[in-house]
Amino acid sequence: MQQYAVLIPELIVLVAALVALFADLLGGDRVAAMVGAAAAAMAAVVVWLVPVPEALFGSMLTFTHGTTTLMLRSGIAGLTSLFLLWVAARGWAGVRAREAVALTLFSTVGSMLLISASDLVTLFLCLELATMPAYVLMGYSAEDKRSLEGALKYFLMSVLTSLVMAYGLSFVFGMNQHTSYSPLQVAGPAWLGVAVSVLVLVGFLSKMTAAPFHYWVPDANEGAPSASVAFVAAISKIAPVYAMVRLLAEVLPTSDGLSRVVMICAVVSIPLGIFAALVQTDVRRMVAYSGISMAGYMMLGVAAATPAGYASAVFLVAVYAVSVLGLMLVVAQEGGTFADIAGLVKRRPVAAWSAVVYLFSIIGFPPMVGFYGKLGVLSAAYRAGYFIPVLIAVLMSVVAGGYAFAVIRAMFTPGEGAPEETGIPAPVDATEYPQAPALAGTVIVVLAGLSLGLGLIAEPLISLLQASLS
Amino acid sequence: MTVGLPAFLLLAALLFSLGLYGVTSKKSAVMVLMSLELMANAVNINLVAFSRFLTPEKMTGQVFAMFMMVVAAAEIGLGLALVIALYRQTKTVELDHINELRG
Repeated sequence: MQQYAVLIPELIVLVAALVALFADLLGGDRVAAMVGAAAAAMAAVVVWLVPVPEALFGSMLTFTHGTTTLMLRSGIAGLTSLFLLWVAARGWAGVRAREAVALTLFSTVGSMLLISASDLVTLFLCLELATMPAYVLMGYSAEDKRSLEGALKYFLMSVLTSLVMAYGLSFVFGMNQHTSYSPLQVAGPAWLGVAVSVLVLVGFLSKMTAAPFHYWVPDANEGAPSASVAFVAAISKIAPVYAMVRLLAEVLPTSDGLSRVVMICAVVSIPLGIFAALVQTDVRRMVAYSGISMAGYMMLGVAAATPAGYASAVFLVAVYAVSVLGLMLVVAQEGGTFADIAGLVKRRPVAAWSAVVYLFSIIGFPPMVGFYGKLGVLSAAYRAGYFIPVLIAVLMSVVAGGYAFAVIRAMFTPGEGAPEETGIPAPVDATEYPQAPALAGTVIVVLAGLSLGLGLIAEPLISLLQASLS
Repeated sequence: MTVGLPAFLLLAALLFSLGLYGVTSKKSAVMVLMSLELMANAVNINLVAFSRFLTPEKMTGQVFAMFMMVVAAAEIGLGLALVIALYRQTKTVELDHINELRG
């Protein structure tokens, strides 16, 4: 029995999700969010306290990666906890938040389990458990056709790519004749292995919003409630990238062919995301495009196919999630268009300066943590011999400064025509939520602190990840 | 003449391609969902065929297919819910007419 103790954190989050579903009996949205935040925080701590076995359920879940597994599970729960704390303070764009809280927690359970999944069946189930609530969250404003339209686009793309991945997984099963993770036995020409790998990777790349699976992202981000985007664009990306890296390291054959395919996606994603981000006047669309370029940087590390590359790819996505979560929370309370955030520094100096930290981290400006993530993938790709792609990526990160400074400029210049006092957007949830700006502000400052502080310990963290992946 | 594994894989590949074609070409959201369902079934045929012809005693593929069915059913249900919610707002399920957001 004792080996099951390792799943206590997931169980805590699951129970909290069920409690949040029945929050009507407890007193509503704020209670649901508080329960969820407390449970997720507890889970983040408990991860480190329970004994960790090698494997569970006939090695459907394995915990062989030691500290990395713990760190990622704890990190996902911790970020969810911060996010729900913010929800407790500010609500969910004026609609009932309790179901959204439950869905967030269900998705978190899926993400946490996905980290330890080491069987094709658990991989697929956990991935779907992590993403299915995300479709609902993106279309959460059921009265708003823009939100629904974005969610439908997201849903169709994501299900399509999931099924392509499942088709690939069925071949992995056929070749290995069992579903647990072990190196793929390619009977026949080598391109067969590459073809199967590409089918499987399609699912992951679409979850990471890499080109050519990106077209829905800006639309979905613009239509959906910003709080949903904060969760979907940030926290729910961490687990898939680790699962992908694990699959590549343990199952799929690494080959030049596969690396080349991934590298082409990377070289397309990076400039596409960055150039498109430059011309946006809505932070939500900008975040979508910067996410596409981030997926490109992540794939540089994946294409390198070395432990260092894999480790820094995971690290990059995880730290990017911290900064994007923060930025989207600022957007969720202040509004997304440049007109909304004009003169923000006068109204909400803390939020504005935190947003500056997030933006610098997103574009990879030292000493923010995003810089170390990008440095990691670039040096891994360089060592693997990809000079031209690295050169493109480095040049592009300079260009990326443009969109960050566009947002910063908007925040630091007063809005045209709008008098200072009327420039403050009325909080959408003012009636139901007596504002708790202190709590929301604390979350935003903590995330900014993480974006800065994680940079100090970036190198030990990457080498820790690297050691467990080699 | 016995029907072997390749025949089933070919059938699955055919169904999968049909589904993929449907998803990319159909204009009605409902037709797209049906095409997605075709693709899911192709995956299931693959799984069951591999299991039946390669490891008949273990039934792994059949169990995998069961899970796939559950996931596919949940996903299509969710998709239909989205389409219905959208229909209430826009009175159409034609994807071409659902274009509030600039793509």
